[in-house]
Amino acid sequence: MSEWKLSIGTAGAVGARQLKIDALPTTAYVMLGEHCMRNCAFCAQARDSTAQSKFLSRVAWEETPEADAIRNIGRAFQAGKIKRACLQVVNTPDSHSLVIRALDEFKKYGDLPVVVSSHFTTVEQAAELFAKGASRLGLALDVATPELFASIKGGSWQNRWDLLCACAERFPGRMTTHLIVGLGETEKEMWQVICDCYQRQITVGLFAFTPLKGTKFANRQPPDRGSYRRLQIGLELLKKGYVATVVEFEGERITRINVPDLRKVLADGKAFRTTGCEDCNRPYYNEKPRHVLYNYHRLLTAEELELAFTESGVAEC
Amino acid sequence: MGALTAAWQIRHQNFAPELLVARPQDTESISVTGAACALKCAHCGGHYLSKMTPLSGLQKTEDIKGASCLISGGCDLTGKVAVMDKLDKLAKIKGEHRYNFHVGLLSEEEIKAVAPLADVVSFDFLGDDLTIKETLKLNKTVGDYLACYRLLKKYCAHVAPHICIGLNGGKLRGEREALRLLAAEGMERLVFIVFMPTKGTEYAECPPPALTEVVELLGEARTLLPEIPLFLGCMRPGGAYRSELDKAAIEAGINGIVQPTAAALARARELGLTIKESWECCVL
Repeated sequence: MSEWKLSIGTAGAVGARQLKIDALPTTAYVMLGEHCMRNCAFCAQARDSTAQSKFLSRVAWEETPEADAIRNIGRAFQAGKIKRACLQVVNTPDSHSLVIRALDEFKKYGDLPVVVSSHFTTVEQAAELFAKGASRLGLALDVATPELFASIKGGSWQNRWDLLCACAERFPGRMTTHLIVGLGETEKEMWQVICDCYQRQITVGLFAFTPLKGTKFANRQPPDRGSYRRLQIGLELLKKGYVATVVEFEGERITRINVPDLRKVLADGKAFRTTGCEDCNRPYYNEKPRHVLYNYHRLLTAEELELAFTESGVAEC
Repeated sequence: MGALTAAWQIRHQNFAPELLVARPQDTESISVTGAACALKCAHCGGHYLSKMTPLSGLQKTEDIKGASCLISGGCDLTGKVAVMDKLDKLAKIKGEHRYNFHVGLLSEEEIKAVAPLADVVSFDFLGDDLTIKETLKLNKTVGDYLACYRLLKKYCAHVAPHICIGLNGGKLRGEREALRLLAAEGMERLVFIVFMPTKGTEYAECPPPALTEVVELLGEARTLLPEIPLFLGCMRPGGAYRSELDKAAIEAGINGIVQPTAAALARARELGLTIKESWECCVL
């Protein structure tokens, strides 16, 4: 038996910890393993990162004995407190066996959907994870362009993209990828990847780069919120069935959304909510609670919605 | 000093020997968009909005501190401040307050709507297409600025064009062209501001424009516009730069300065100017 790591919010949601927090996650987030073999410049778990190993993004994770973690998550699901579990697997030599064991254990709790984000390298490995009970698989691109991928994450963007596409073809609608805005790509480059993913029914979870102490990118700035809002709006419009060409550019920046009554179309505020797998809300993953949120984990207030529209610069009154 | 002496003589011949000193503590700076700006120009990045009072926090005229307001805010991606849907509220809370609107590139219809509320409109004027594209990230031209300036003059009671010296990352590019165009159009007064590097912006590491170039331009403006009151506005670098700039600006015949340094005031007195203070925005 090993130690699992539950995000602090998850520990609160499954009743393993008393938290003074205004928002609990609707998904149980579990980090399996620590000290990644990879060396992504933005990540607290990277090989060269000197950030405390209990962090992933700006969230702290709490060690819990494996059996307790599984039981708590399973019971929380049965009690309706969480809707799915998300295994975020740090790339270590034993990560595959950890995941397989976790999927087996979770089967005891019936229909608990389990998403696995791990470092698999072949469609066959993906098939095995599905066969063992994963409801969805996440394969993070993180970075929008091959050049940036090589310098920030190391390795081949193209290989990962090809694998993502191959998996999406074999398991339609069951793949998720994460993209991080603000790693040096242009708005247009990010938009292009988002569109390419949606064409292939690959769900996109959009995140804002978050500078973390101890990482190579500690002193970089998070992305411009206006730019992030425009990409969120574009992504939401794709989900609502609009064609990609409603998003119009001048140079590398989105300057117009060619949708009549855009504010009405986006009035539910979903554009600015956390995206990705269903029921994933990740409270405060990219920002401190008192800051304006890149990804809202809850309904927006009227003022927050107004602010998001203003920040976008493309949603005229 | 030759050019400056000539500029000083022009001032001496055309204006009373007084320096207008604005200390705008009686003007409340209001942002209609709070801290939000979509445009994120290279020199500002929306930084200064966070120091303003958000309009959303004001409900009635008594909530406004002071005698007047600067009404500004972040821009959308076409270079306009999203003020249109705020006009009703601004009218409601106006009371006896005078409004200085800073609105960017509004359309004719929008200018018509703003005009009745605006005691004065401040308008940033640019004379260089590349700076509009590079610094302001706008797909606009000097022609658009000129057209907007003409419309503002047509519909608004008072318009105060502003030229930011060194806007293109500290380099002088279109300032002389802006000056030339405005001189041809005519104006009641002209405000100069000076680029200052601001932390966290694209131009954070750019130095302010060379002092000699700024002063030379001010002297040229004095010569070109002998009877138009010229002001050195609030946005300019601080410290030793400001101290030198303020003194040199007075010597170059400027008529008014916002928050001048003590050394500049001493220099003004040496030159025989009396100090005439106001407590609001320099254009109000």
